[in-house]
Amino acid sequence: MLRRFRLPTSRSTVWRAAALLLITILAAAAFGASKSPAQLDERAAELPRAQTLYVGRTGGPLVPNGNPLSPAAVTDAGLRQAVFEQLFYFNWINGKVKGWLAKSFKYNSGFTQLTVDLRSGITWNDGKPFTSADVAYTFNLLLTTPTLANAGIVQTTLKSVATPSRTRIVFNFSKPDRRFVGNILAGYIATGVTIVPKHIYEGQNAATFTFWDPARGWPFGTGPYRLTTQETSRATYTRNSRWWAAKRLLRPLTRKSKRTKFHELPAPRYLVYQTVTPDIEAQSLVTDRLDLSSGNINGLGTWHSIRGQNKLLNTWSKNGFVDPCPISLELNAKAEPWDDPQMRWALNYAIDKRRFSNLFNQTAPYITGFVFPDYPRLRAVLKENKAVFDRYPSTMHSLQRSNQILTSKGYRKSGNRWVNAQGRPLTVNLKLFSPTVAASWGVARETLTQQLESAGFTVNSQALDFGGLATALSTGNFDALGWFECGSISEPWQTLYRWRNENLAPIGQRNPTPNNSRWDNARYTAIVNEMALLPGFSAKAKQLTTEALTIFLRELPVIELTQAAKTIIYNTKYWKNWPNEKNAYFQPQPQLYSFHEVLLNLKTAPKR
Amino acid sequence: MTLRYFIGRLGFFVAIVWATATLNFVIPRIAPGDPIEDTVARLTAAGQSTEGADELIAAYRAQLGLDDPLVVQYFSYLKAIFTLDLGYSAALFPVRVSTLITDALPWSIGLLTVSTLLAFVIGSLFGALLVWPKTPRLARLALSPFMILSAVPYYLLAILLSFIVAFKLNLLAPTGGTSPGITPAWSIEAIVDIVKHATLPALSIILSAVGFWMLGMRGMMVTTVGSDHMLLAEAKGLRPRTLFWRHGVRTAILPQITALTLALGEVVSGAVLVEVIFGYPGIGGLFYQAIRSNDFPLIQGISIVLAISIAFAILVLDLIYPLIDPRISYRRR
Repeated sequence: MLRRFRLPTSRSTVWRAAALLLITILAAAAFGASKSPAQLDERAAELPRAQTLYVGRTGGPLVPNGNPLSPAAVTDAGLRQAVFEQLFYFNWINGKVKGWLAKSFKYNSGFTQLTVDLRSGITWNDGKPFTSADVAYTFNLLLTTPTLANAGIVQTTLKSVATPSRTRIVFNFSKPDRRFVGNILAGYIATGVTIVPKHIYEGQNAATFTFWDPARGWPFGTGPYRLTTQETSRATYTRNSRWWAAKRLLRPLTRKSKRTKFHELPAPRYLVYQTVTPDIEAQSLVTDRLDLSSGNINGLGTWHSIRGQNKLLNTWSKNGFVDPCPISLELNAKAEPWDDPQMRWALNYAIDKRRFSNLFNQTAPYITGFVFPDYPRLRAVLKENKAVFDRYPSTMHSLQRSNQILTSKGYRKSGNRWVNAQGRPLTVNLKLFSPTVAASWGVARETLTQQLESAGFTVNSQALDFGGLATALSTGNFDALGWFECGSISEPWQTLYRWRNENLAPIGQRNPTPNNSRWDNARYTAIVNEMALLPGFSAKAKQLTTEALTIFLRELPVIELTQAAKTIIYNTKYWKNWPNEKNAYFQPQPQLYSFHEVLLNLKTAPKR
Repeated sequence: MTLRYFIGRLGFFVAIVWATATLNFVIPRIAPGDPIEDTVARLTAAGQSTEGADELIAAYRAQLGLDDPLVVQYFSYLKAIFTLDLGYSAALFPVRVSTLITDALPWSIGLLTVSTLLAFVIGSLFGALLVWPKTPRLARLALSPFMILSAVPYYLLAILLSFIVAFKLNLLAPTGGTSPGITPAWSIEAIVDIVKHATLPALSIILSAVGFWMLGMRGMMVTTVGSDHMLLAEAKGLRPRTLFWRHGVRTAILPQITALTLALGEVVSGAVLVEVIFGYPGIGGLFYQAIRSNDFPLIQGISIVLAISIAFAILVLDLIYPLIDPRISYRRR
């Protein structure tokens, strides 16, 4: 029966149909492309170079998500830096908190209550006033929705939020928290909470809301720029002439001042965050297509290779910019034989940290002996505790000392390898980032493996992507693991606090604490818990710091491999007043919240 | 073409899509590692905030439907494919996989369809001319270097082209799908801008692919030129142009068309490295990022689109091939 039906096909009709299909596909593609990126500015045209600030970035794809409370929201491409603003900004250089949307804060005597006062006259970029209700609404969302960014850390201490007036917020804590402003309100490193507009979020499910509707001008914040267009590798922003801070007031800001504006508009009229590969970034800097490098690349290799090719390029300092997260080797304090502190010291002595640092950063060796970033106030802490470091020389490379320890523990050499009494080799399961995460990790793996094998250890090294390494770290599936230690910036407590022994999970289960080594020392934990409520540089805090450092270095759950020097290259052809070692008004990284401060301080360079 | 043949091919198409979708469902679930654990580990590690990770994982599992029994998950997954609702991306939550794919797909289809067709036409023509006896010697010499380019990976060509054309000669933009500030739209300015941005990625693909098509065509043309029907056609006194096009190229090109159809079926997967190098907003770059971040829902979504596209290409090929080559019949023998 079916054979009687014939589809009307001939050679010519098939060719016509194929051509039609192809044209349809291409037309659909063209139509789709015209719809796909954010269409926020119908009058968009190519941007004038001299009025545009081009910033490099290396992160993942830019996607239609403008919700700053999404844990997976892209944070390094301008939304956090230029569209949304923070209540406070944390200055890593001087360790101080600068008020922005908020003008002041005050804790009660027991640090169980914090009062924050907002500036008046702030408006969202849709014209609605920014008030304490927005702040309270945001924090109440975080208290009730565990899937939002920073909800976990906020819920640790925050109990409730009250709004006695339109400009005053009172935070009530379930336990004392004297660092809530620095950690949560000031965008410390990556834990800052961004306030969202209550009038938009109300009635939405904040966990799945993307705050993305170009036709309605979404996303928007209180910031000096608004998003104009976005494709997966580039976000373009236009200066917002109606920015609250640049509005002229009827009266001067203060009696002494004649200023009638809180702040001038930033100099760049346009801002472009461009995703770049290292090669493209280097060439773009040389040819003046880029004004600032991504700031996320380890080492100064790029700088060394291009500095002679464009005299207008410069960098923070000859050692790059020190990242707040030094590169470390986490040692598993629950895995035999590394649960023995002396064995950890044997490993430490076997590693030539200076050589590692030299190769990793492509600079002169840059190590300090501890996993604090080398910032002025922390440098002073290490200097004050020189006696502790003399006693526990953590930067020392000594195969002799390593051999002594291993011999005392019953190991012997079989050929070039250390073996135990049963003749089994002394093995280190070493896990590190794969070079696809950052090229310098390829060098790191090669260097560490070679150094440890030269010292007689049998090394099983494995290179993993970010997720794989983070999972190994969290479940304790390693002997030694290359990582980065974010914590202190201006006072020692934040880093020291990470190795307390509370709530440690057994090996195999995900560890809910930042004590990646699962190091368990009751006295140390008691000390850092006591430090939590003390001003960072009080006499008592200093004494406790020394005691904590002594225990930590004696037991060495983690080794500082190197300070992380980041390449931050800036171009002075179109813009000047970049932050650098001599003009260190703020940290320079464009992927941080605090780049807001750099944006506001840049000035137009004279024509060359 | 009979309806029975058409329905049979259609059934085969559905079977391929179903089998691929099932494999796509099974493989990530038996592979080591947990995408949610991975994603949360990445997020918490990046921010160094580990508090509340358990709640975050539980909530993510519930939202992505990973708490349900496997059978329920499987049927939900098939339903999702059927309704084109591919759920949320794990690494880019709460953005939907379908949003990410539909945003990126047009760029890749536009870039790769044009560059694949151009490479096919140029490569097949050059390949045929290489062995055609009447081709001038000088032309043959000039065409040969294109074959060498087939040995150069296209991403190396991409780097080289961007360095020379974009940075040294400053002729074209090195990255992006459009210039900053230009919105894709139906305007001359926007279209010119899009074509300018697509030129370098397309050129790197075309230059490296032309050699491939040339090699295939040259091989087939060598056999064709020496065949009896060509001798007969020549003996009949046909014009050289007719001999070349109607009797030479038309016979030799059949296997090339099979390869072209499959290549066109693959355009939806994008040109991963070229898109990464040129920051092109296509699906290849998205696929690369999805793999880097173990974003299984997105990887599954892109894979299923790719499977459907290739299966569709095979279906079209099955339907049109008997018309291109009369030796192949719709009927069973």
